[in-house]
Amino acid sequence: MQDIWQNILTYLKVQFGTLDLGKLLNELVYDPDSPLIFSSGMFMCMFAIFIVVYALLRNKSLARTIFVVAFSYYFYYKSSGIYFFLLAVVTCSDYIIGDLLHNSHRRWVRKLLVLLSLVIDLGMLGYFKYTNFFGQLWADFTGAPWQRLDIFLPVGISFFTFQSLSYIIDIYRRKIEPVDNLLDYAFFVSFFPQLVAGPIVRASDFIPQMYKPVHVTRQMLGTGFWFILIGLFKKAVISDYIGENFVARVFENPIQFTGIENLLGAYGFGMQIYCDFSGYSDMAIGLALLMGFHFNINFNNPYKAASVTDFWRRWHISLSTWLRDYVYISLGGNRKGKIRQYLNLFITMLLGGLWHGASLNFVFWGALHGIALALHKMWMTITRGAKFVQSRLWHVFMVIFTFHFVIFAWLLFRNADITWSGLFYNGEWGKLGIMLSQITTNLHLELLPEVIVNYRHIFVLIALGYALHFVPDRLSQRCRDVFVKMPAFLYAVVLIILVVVIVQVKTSQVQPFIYFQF
Amino acid sequence: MEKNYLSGVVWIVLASLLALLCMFWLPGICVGDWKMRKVDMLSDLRSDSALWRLAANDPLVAQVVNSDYHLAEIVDNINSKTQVLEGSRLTRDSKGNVMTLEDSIILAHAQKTVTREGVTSIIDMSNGGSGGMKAFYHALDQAGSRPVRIAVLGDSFIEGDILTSMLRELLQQRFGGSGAGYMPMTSITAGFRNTVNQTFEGWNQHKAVDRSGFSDTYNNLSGNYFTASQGAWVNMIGKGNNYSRCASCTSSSFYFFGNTGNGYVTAVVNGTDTTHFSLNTNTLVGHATVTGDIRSVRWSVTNPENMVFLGASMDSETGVIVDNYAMRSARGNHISRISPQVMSAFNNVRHYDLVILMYGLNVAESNKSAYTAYCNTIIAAVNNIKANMPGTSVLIVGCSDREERFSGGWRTMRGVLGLIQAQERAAIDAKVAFWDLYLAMGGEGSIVKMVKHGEANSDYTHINSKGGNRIARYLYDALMLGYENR
Repeated sequence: MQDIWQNILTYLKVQFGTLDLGKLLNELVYDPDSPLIFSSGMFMCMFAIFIVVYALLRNKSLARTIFVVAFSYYFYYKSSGIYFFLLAVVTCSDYIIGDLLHNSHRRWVRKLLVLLSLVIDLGMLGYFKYTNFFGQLWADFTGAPWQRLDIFLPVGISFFTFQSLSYIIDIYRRKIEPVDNLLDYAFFVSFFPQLVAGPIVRASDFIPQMYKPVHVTRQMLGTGFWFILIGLFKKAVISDYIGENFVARVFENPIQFTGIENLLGAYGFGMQIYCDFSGYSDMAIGLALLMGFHFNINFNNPYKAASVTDFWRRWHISLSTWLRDYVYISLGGNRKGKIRQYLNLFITMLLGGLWHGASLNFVFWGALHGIALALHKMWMTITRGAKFVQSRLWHVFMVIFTFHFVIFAWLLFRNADITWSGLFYNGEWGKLGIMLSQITTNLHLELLPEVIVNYRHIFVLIALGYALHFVPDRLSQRCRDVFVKMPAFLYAVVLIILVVVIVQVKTSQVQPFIYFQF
Repeated sequence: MEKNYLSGVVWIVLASLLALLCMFWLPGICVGDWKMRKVDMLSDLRSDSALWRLAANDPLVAQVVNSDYHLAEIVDNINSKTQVLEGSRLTRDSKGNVMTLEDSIILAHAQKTVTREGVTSIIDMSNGGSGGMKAFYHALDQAGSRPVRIAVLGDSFIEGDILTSMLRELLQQRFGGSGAGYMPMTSITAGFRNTVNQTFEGWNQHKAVDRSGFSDTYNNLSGNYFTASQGAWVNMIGKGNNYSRCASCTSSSFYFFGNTGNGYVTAVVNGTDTTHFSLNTNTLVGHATVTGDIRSVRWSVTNPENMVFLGASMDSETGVIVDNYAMRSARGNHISRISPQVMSAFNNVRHYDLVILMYGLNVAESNKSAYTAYCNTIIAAVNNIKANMPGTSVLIVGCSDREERFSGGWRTMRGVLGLIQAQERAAIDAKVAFWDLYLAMGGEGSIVKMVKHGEANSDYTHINSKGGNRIARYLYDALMLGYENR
């Protein structure tokens, strides 16, 4: 008996005696290298504390709102430090502009107010995200030297500025009423589940939910955990593992790999970016559900798309609908004739590309998708009524074709080393060029079995990712229903098992380079 | 109205968190070879020093630490003032600091070899004898009147002229010299080499690391040789964007086995000046050389049947020349297999003042601590060089930092530490010089930092050219420190 106590005591000593108060303090303050991401143990601990207080305040609306805003600001501070004041700037300015906009009836005043909001939000976005990009571009054109400015890119700035803009434009279009007070608006802009990586939540969807009492139904409880578990699996198991152990290396130094490895790296990146991004969105949706909020889904099995148009209805839906409603339609949409429609599509996608990041490759990526969307619109006009486009075989062909187009475009998305001068004076496509040349001239298909056997863990995960992706919608819906109907304590059991698996994956050995060795 | 399940959320989250926190107490579970890793939700908040302090004062805790945290076995060369704590792999030094055995070994070693300016010095174990650094330092004094050549033999760590490009640049800036040195006829990494634009066609490569198709009759320092089809060519254009001394050179040579056939080779310099050379020589290793202001040179062979070729070079007639002999997956064991005849015949046409052996990444294994057999391989390699290349200094460079995952993050692969000791032991036994690259890089965690700064790849093993430039400076500083104290 004494032995057992002795053992427990020793373990307690190891567990708590090795905690370092200094490290705890470090974890609590801003650290650019360790933002608070949903798949970290630290977040789980914080969310546990958060949800207890949140539940205690369920009937105290004002206190709860203050608490959530404070927590969200802290969450933002953890990843961007002092720049959380930007959130406050956007919040205050758009709150005031929204109120003025609602109360004024003169057309030109209203237009001016929208313009003011655009200038503030996009000006901020432009300064923090695009100054160096456009400066460098200008320098490349004029030959004048450009000294890169040391500008910090605040996390999630593209998301919350767009979210806030939707509020202003919707008030301008008289689709929504402004919120009652500044605090409520701060709640909408800073709500932490979607704050740093989306989905971009519309004011018209979110604000009505804020004024209802917090109510989590049994369905929401189950669905919330379902989304969190799926998201965790995608992000922390599939994406992180294949990214670190295979994909990143191929993209980092494509010449060290044969064409077949480059090709598999491209397919791997397709899965990685999907799992990373959609996994994070899923977790945000799940967390919001557990707090009593509904978000729309952000990804709907995008690689099942049978055309580029279809792809953009399934990929990052909150962004593509945002671009459609606030850029494409503002540009005139399809109301000004075919040519203008194609042009509008192109411009929208070009800006959408630039939204993803401030470098030339994103512009090209957006442009490529823009051209593809316009071509597809033409194609639909030409083939309207044709029988073959409705056949099953054609559908399968189009899914494969669209998938490969998207993968090809991802290569542009991922290779950020394309420069204007390199491209136009020397025709250099950077690593993208190397990858394509490896794939086309140095494929070594005969190595495929060897590569797959040696990197089996990675390809099992990539294959699993694609297999789960292509599961019929009906079946995945059934799985979700079964999960939701499970006794609630089993959610905890599944969560624990998943966390144990994630720990195994996270701390597993780095897969060594295999085929070519060192 | 339907029941509100908000409290359900609270209970599920709290119960899961509590269960996960308690998992810290679970003993390790093993299934076959696979060992389950510890689930520690608070791992980010723990510090090793707190753990060691606790363990040093409490034998029961030390036991738990020993069974849960796997420490590799390297017990050697420890500072005599350091005391190993009983029942654990922890040590306490004279000041009472407690650390792991591995850390204290590294520290003791570091104290011996790092100068106050932060330069990791080369330790010459030759006592001034043959193979020691003295010959090389002496040769540097003659760099104004003859070429001083350095051969850097290694694996993928330096392929594509990584590291050697900057080492060459720095040495050439100080001692003169130009050109990127020797290169085999073909290279899988020619596409990203920053010092020369090398293109080629018609060569059939035979590599020492391949299981078949390689005969030790033609084995040489580079570990590969070539057969050729009619008209095979190699074209080299100097690149000066990043390493200015490589833009042009003053001589270019073409190396081949001289007694194998009757063809001839044609050199075209700067696209215009054409010279023909007969390949029928009576020396074992032959060479053809053109001189002038060479920005580009193209060597092509006619009637190469039955002939065996080596490589071509871009050199200068004075100053320092650094040749990069990188071979993927090489361990350096091909060197002892080179025949004395080839070794000395090649030395006659291309004499080296210093041979640097930079191997190890393909040798280190995760948990292997003893590398006696490998130590002997390196000794045999050095002895072959010393016997057949008189007057050549030999420098063994220890394995670079390579990291592996463990529960608390990244750490140097334990096998690397054992390997470095074996490499140092080889230098001691073969009486040549040793340079501890691991120490120079910054020891534990150094490649993690390099990955973070964009200087190394995310396999936590390979450096890129930016990282190579940094390490080249370290090596250059070490060489110059030795040169100044010669």
